[in-house]
Amino acid sequence: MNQIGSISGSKLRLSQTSGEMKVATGLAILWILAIAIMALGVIATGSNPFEQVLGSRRIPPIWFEWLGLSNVSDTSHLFGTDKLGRDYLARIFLGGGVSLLICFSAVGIAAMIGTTLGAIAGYFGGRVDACLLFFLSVRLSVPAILIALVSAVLFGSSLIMIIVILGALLWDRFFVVVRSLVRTQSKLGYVDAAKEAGASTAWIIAREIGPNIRGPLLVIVTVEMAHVLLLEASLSFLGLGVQPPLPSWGLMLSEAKEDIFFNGWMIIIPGLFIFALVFSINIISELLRISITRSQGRRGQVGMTNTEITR
Amino acid sequence: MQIVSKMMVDGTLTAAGVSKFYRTAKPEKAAGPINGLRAFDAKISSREIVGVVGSSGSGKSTLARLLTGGIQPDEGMIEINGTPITSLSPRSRATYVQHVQQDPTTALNPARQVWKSVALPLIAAGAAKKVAHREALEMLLQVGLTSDQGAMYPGQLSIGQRQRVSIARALIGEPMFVVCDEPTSALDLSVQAQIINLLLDLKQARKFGLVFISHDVILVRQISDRILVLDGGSLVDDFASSEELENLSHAGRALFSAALFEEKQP
Amino acid sequence: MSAESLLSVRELSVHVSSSSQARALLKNVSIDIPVNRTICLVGESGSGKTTLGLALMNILPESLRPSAARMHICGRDFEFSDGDQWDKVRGSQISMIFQNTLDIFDPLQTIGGHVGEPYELRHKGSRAELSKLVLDALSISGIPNPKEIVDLYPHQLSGGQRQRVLIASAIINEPAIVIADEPTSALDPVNSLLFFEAMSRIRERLSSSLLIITHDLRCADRFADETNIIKGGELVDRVGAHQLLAAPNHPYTRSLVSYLPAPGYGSRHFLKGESHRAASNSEETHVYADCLQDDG
Repeated sequence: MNQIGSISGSKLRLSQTSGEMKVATGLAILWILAIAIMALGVIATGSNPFEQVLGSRRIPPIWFEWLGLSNVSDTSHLFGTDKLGRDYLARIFLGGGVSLLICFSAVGIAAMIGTTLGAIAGYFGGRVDACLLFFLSVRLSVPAILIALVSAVLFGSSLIMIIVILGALLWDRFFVVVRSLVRTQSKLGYVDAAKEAGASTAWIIAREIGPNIRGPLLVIVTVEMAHVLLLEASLSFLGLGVQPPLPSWGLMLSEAKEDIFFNGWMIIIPGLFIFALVFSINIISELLRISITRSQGRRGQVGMTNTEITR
Repeated sequence: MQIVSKMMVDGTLTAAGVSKFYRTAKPEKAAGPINGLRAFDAKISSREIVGVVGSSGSGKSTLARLLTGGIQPDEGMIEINGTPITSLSPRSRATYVQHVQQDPTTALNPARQVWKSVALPLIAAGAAKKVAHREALEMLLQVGLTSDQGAMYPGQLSIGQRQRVSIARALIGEPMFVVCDEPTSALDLSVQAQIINLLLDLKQARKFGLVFISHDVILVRQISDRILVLDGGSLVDDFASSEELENLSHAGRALFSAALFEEKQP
Repeated sequence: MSAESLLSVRELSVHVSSSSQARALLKNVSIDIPVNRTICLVGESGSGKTTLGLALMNILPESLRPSAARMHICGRDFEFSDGDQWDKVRGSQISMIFQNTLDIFDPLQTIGGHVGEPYELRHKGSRAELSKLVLDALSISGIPNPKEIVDLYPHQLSGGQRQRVLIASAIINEPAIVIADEPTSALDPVNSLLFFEAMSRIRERLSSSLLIITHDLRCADRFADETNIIKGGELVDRVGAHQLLAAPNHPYTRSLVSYLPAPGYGSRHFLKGESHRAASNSEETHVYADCLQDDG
């Protein structure tokens, strides 16, 4: 991954320089794949996640059969059924797909709002910055749950509403990070040079500064994805998120809470899935962060420290 | 191309009564530099090389930014051929005055190939990408870089090479004046020699006015027609480099004798 | 000669430990620093001069591996692997003045605190004693009224003043050897001269030896008792006091000197070096810089 080899050979190595774009594309593809797999999974189970078979409610998952704890399980319901007789595995798949969809969309909205506002605040500074910071303080002083509650009452809770609400609530982290990054970059020489060359402000922010902040921005995107997943699960659990009969892992947790003692598996399974997904996203974002910091260092984007050392 | 070349045309850069004050936050800044400028008057012709020297905090960098229009003066006016710089649009101003920065590392966008950085003035003026690309590579050739190097990123080039890129970017729009702020301070002696020779060659071929700001007074005296000495924000000397140094102000003489490591004159 | 030398190094080499390239930044360098002398080390970027300075105090980054046949400092032999040995002498018997930047200072520490810290870490004494030592060190370094600045913070001082504060913190323990790494690169002539006057005072008052790493040939010519020229990790030439600018023998030294602008008003193109040679000499610099970043 060293750039040294490139100097004498003067061959440009795309992987080094547009690494972030590749990662971003990779993540997007992964996301779409995940949703697709979820959809496929639903089909694969052969069951309708909405079909209520009241005669076969609360059938335990297949491994209870293997462990000899039950004799009712069968292979047509690998994860058993919930309290209304719906196939659990199918609901897990569908719930996962719903959660991922909400996550992707909400993070997308939040990123767009936060990045735009943050870039404006960071680049212009002064009054514009002060104004936007005030706006940020207002947003931060209001608890997310309260907003969700109020909007659920006012606008109902459809899938779209949840996405919009989450997006509108979570732009703050993007704002703060982008503002700081853009501020630092605007002070550097090349921005002055772009201004002197006559480039427009929009160009400078998007085309000059933009590529230099892609890395950290990507890391924040992944971190926020984990955040959204958990937030959505919590809201659904509280009944403010995804509404039945549409499943969501958080909602499944909520629906299973009355069975927590006798059918513990009903609450453990979605819980484990939530944990696994959030955990893996956190790991990905950590790895991303490390790799991006490294490649930024090599490219001399990390401030002035490199110039000192070159002597 | 939409850029009207101002090079090869005679012009005058005039600063009249220019002042720029910086509010120092802490009053106890111990005898520290003001960094501002006070009542600065000068006339610079596009035919000459003018050196600007002074100790740290004497206002050299402030002057550089004022001349290129990066900041506005608090008092007084800077004009080119009678037109105030501040009344020009950035694109227009870019055709008159360009700037070569001190630190080659931050002066170039690390995320862009260097030819793109060089082509920026043309693209900003509306030139087509292909045309700009070609012109940029042309210009890079003139400063001694190959087209392979043009496709590289700043991080892959040495400091001297990056400075050449900065120079290419400054000259591609054919400006009337080029202000160089400590262009060789970060460079080795041998690289400095190359860059200076490059600048002088280009100036001879393309006839722009060169304002050379540096703390290397000996170098400045060697290459400039005229030298301006700043001290604490004020212009204390404005002399032709062929003149004797005895006639300089105290600050001016102190600078030159310090540079030769002579003991301070009482 | 070595009996007298404060510092005697034989065959010092520094290798980059990354597997892709086994590259030596320093190749079998041998250097002596006698008692009460000023030694200058002159070279271009990538020559290894900073590496040498860091190696002499064993503060190289993790990715660089030093090795030497002999490291004899202040009467004792040193091994690079023995960290404790080095901790004892660093900052007290051999100290370093880094290139002046704001980054070296703790922004929340006063000047007095910064200067006094090397002493405080090694000695127990009263506040009054420490204070006196701090003021002394600052005044040797060329700060005219030390009392005025001890309570200030780094950002309130000018670059030249900060450099002198760095000198003060390096000499407060009265080291036998002071190494200065490119101390005046960022300074204007007036402040550079003040720096070297401070160095002269250090020689007089403390009888320390100085190792000044610089690319400023004029200063080396004026102040050094001996100047070593380093190129590509090897010492290629050595000249005595005031002999650097006056017709040196070695071709590399001669070429370095030829790049110096002569004082006085001159014609164009006095400086040797064709402008269109697209500076390939700094490939070394680049490798070096990347190596230092590699440990991240």
